[in-house]
Amino acid sequence: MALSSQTLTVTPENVANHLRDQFASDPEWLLARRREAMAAYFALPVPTRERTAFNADRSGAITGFESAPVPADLPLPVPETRGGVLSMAHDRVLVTRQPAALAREGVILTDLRSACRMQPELVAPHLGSVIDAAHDKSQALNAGWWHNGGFLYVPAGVRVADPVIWLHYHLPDQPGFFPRSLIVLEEDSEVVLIDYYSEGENGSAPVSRTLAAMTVEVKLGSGARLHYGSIEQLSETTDAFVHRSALAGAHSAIFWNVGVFGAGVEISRQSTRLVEPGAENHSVSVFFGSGRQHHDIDVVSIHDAPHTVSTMVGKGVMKGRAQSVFTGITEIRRGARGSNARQREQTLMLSDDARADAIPSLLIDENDVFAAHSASAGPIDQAALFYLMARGLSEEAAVRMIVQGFLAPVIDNISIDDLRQQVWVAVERKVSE
Amino acid sequence: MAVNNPMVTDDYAYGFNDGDVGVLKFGQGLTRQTVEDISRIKQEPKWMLDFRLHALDVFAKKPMPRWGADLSGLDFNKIVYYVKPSENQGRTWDEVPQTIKDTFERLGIPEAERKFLAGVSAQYESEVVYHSLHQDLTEKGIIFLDTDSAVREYPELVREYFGTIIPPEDNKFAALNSAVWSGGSFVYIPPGVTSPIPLQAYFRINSENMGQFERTLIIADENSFGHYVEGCTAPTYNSESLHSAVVEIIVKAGARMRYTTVQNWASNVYNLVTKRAVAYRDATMEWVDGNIGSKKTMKYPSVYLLEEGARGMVLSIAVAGRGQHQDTGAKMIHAAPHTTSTIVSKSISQHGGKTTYRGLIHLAPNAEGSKSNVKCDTLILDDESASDTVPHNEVETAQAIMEHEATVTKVSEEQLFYLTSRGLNEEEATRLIVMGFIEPFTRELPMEFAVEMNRLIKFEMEGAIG
Repeated sequence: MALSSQTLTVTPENVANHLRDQFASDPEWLLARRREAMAAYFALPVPTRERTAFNADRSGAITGFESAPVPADLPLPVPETRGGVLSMAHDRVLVTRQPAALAREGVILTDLRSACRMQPELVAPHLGSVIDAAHDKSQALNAGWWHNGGFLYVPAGVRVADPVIWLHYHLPDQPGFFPRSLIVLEEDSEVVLIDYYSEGENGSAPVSRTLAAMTVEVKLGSGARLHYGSIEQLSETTDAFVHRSALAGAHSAIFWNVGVFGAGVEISRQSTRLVEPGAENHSVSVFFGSGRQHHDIDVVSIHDAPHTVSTMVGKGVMKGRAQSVFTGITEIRRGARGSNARQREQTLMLSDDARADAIPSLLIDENDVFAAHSASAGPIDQAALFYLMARGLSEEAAVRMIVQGFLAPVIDNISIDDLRQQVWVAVERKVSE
Repeated sequence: MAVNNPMVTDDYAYGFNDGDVGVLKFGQGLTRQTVEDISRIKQEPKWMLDFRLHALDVFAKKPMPRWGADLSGLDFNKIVYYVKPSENQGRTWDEVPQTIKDTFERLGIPEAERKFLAGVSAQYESEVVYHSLHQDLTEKGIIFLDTDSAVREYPELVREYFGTIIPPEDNKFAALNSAVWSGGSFVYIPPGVTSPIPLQAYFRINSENMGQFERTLIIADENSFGHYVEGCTAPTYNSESLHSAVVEIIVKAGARMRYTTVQNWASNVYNLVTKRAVAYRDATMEWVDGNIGSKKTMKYPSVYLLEEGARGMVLSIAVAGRGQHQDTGAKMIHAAPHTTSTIVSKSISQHGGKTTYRGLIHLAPNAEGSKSNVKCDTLILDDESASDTVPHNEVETAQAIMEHEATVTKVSEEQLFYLTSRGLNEEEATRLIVMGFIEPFTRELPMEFAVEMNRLIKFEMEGAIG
């Protein structure tokens, strides 16, 4: 199945030519942005993380520029749903299914590069406006070399009933994975979006390491509501840099439900800026580390306007020799009067060889606020385990039940049915590993 | 001198100043010669000189911390590293110079002594000038000395422990202290001995641009108990002063040690302190730590729980007013099974001040059965002030429990309304709420400290409303 892969040596001198070859169909304004981002990519240092021993040489060596052509007829699964679907493998769009009713209301669901060509007036002002391409090297790489991703535009006042599903497949023979998506919700619109990042089995021999830089930008107009769910289940040969960021307008609300299960090393950042009064950010992260996985997760909530609200929940299960770092940052800036912010982090330790760090920070520059956080970590309750085993459950079944009980308050609160089921499936897979 | 500056004296009740009484004062700046001179004047043994010179090299190599309070205003070349205030140590109260006595009297030391004080060792400038030891203590075999004297009188004991808990390599300021340390307390409590009264030392800085580098070493031998109390207040000066202490504590099996500090340096002092204790089997170490004064404080009392059953506690408050940044916290390193730790931190920021709680809980792979509980509460009293809470929790075992909570709020409108409707004015009501907020701390202080604490908080809060 695998066709011969290209060998690319990309340098600051030849990058403009390579961009033109790789992204020939892109409009000139986009190519200009790519060139600028790649200049930043070459200039920026390899990111270092205080608590993640990230091998700079290794990450420098895998650029992911090399790629095998992606065949058009990949038989990858497409979910049964009444809502819109966009399925992609790298730069190849496999399925775009937009229900006619949505199109009539002016909802645009397409891949981002098509949107850049077809609706530049809608895309260009927003693309790159939430996350600065020069934020760090991985963001610059994504901004310069992103191969494709989703674009969702919901006009003012439109409420989309059925969840929209995006599937981003990484193919095993690809050393680079750079999806980029953009979500724009106009005033008082509402939508549910599920964003899957998975391995697309295509029978080809996997490459030894993959570098992933994944980006999602969200813009919420006044009163808009976005339910964003995501599950990441990339292979453990992947080093993933994930950056999701939202700008939330007056009285808008974003509900993040993000499950981190895959990748060997994942460094992820989710940042929400509440820039107008009454905006809300509700974030739930579930992470489950096993083997030698290392998840380094930052969740950031910035209150930059009065009466803004944020809740942040991080729930982790650690087994094997897995390591996690969960850094919650709630920043309340001066002037954000009447804001209310809460953080809660809990980690269940299934193994003595695992390690979990939690850094729940509150950075408060305003006094007329309420801010609180709590963090805890602990083992399986031995009394509960004993109780279950005394009722005839095997130890394995008892542990599974306790893990389910630990995660249920968070996962069962996920309002999106499909997502909730998929998160449980992912948890089950990790528990049984 | 600054005593003529009305801006300063208005702002700080203890900003009185009795002129510069130093008998021997070094020029500004730090060189190898400075370190050698300090050691020679103190007639130290060679090992201590070598220790100092090694630390000086480490100091030169270590970078400034890239986190915490802003230290850009600190100029190591403008600091005087040693001042000796009088020729000999005061043996009795009568021998203490009158100007120094006047200062102490305003701080209330004689009263404290009249009550029940046994060991008063007041650090006035760099050398301990007054030191009286109650007969009870010596009879019990408790050693309570300034550290300089201890190096001379108990060289074996000091050498065994000195610099073992906080080596010069630990951080830049520990290295600086190790190179130029002077004064501080040395405490040794023999096995099974309970110190009948708190051991108190009063520290003061009195010379402009003078660094104070006291070095305290406390050894609580097996099954002993002691309570060391340190209070700090310094007159206000116009240019920056540096206080960089190192406090090392060894709590042996079954012993319990409590270290209480009320820090009220004047608002121009950089207070950069390394405090660390090690606790062995079933030992208990308690830090009670109040930070009210100084310009910038960076201080994170820590306990290394090294053997089974060891316990650590930090109870702290930080109050930051105009121009102040209290970057404080606590560290608990659980390095043995069945160890427990508790941290309670209360912070108050007002008048544009900033408090930061920065903490670390580390549960090592062998810390099975350990428990750690951390609670941080912050009050921000006005809209100019700020507070950060940055706890680091590291869990490396599935057999331990870590719990952390924190809140940041303003003074509750409901409580204010309740109190003002009972006839208190808003200022009184706010003060009452703040007093209640820090009550878990003040109730752990010795009586005369609790009184002083309440007075300081009241003073700090004056003008907080409107």
